[in-house]
Amino acid sequence: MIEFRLNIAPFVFQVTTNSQLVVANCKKIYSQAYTENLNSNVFVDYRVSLENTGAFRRFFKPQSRFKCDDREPFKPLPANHAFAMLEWGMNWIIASHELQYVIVHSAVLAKGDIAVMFPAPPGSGKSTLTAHLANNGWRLLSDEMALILPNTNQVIPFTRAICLKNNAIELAQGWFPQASFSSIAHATHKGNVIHMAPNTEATNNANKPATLKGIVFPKYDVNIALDIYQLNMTETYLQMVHNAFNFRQLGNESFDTVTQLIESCKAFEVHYNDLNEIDSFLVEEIIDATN
Amino acid sequence: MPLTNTQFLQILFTPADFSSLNMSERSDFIIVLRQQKIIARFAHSCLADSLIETFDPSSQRHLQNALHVSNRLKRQVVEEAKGLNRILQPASEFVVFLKGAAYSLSNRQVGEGRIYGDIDILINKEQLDDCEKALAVEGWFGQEITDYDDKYYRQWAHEIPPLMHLQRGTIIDVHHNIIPIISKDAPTVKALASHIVKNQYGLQVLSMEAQFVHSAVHLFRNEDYVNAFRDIQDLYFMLKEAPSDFLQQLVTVAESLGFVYEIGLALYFVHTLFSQFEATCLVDEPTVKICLDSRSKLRQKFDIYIFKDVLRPQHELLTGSQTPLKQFLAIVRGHCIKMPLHLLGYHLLVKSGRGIIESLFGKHVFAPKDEQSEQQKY
Repeated sequence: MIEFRLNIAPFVFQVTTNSQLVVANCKKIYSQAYTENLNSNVFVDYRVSLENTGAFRRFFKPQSRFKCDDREPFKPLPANHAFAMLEWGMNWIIASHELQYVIVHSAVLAKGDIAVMFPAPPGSGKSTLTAHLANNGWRLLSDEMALILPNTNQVIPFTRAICLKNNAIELAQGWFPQASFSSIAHATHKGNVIHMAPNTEATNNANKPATLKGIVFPKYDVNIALDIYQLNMTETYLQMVHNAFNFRQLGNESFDTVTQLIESCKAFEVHYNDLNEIDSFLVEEIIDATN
Repeated sequence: MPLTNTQFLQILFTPADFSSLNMSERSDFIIVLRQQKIIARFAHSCLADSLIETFDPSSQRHLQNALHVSNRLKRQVVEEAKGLNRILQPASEFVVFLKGAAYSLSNRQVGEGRIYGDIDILINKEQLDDCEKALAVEGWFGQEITDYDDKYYRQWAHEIPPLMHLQRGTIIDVHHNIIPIISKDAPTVKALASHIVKNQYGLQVLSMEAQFVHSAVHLFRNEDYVNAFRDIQDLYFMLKEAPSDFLQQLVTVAESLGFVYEIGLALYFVHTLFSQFEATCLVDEPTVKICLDSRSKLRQKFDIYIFKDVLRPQHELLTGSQTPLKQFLAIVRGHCIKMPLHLLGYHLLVKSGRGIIESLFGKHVFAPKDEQSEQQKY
């Protein structure tokens, strides 16, 4: 068993595992945030374990199990999905425990301290867009979840790996040869999955919040270079609620936060296949317009 | 330094001392609280002196999260209970809220920060069919379980398989008795019904004495001790807030239901675990002895040997808390009490057969294929 910590602000995870795959990938993806020094006087928020199951299972389709506080939210997965399972497990932990933030299933990127969030269901090309922007002058705050301070436009970075799927894997590896990638988890419920490390720009600013000024719902469409639809408040509200993990649990607080966000942010639905076009559009319509 | 079991208890009772812990001890303490499902209870006990604001930001965050969950659960359960009462009243002679739900529906300390996953209801067994139909019409349905488990519930147990609300996802356990009917010690419907009272919402619950008996029976006739510390805490809070003639009434109620020994154990362990933190003794020792003496000395010794450790908070982060042998004995004991021997043999054969296969091929080989897993969302 190996024990290490991941200091991924604003949380500290302590991981116990017998999977070399998990250790190797964590070192690679979270280099600075990874430490095996457990003696320091640090507050650990969550202890998790990833265990490759023993007995005969080792030889026959080996499996890995994720646990936190004796709870096991997922069914066991093939042992070579263990790192991806840790990533999903950390998402699950934060989405189901943290109630000091309104948490939206969304990527968040910023220029200076102006942030844009990209709430979107899987399959919308959100992570590919995130990977592109994060390496082209934008700062990555999060790929999966926007942590918003209630009743403000402040979004707190949660600088985790970017989760790329299927065709996007090869694209990203080609575009960003300098980036660190995890090993590929083949044939998961999302298809083939790889995780890409956040770059130094993102990790160096992992404690710096930003102010949300734009909400963009991306939808990758191979036939459309760039179509932009301005959304009214009702449409934005419904989509935001749909993507908010802890909306019901938070009650009034999340309602007020989402309401004030849609009143103070520009909101668009964007159909695109050209990443540079969408980049210029965001800068022009949201970043420059608010400066 | 790792926390000891005794230190953990001390801080539970004097929350101001939490500040004397260093950061990693604080983190351990909070992780144990969360795993034991008593974090909201601790957070509530910090409210009186506005202690939470004096803690470090991380501890504050976790305790505030817990308060959020428990406050919401309380509001939610009041609404659900009113709704369930409306649905079931025409179908059953009585609709009684039990355990966690009953505590939340009271204004007593036992309900503050009490966390539970399902709402327990007691209805009249003869009207069980009508109740299931009435619930189904309003969106309460059973989840997929194995045929064997369904048979287990229907033929031998004291409740039907859990029902979940289609939209809200709330889960209810519908009981027709407080212990499995197969165990032969189950009280009659009439005996149970005589202890029903109405609370401030106009909903039916058991009388305070009968709630204590039920809680004790649940704890000492169980085969699952994961939440044992929380459960003995329930009994402590009930006893602590009880009026002075409570003990006497309690013995009478326990006699009428046939669970004198169980309340003996409950009183004994509330006393041994918690009296040290109280100014006055919580129990009257001769009464405890009389209750315990309803069983043989050997039985008493065995039970006390097991439970004096099993009822303490069990977590690998607390030194001196891991007692696998006693845990195992408690589980075996629970099964033996629950079922007559020939059925127990059969039940264990089926379950252990599965257990062996699961230990070889993984825990989830028997899970239904279409079982909803959290996985899809993340």
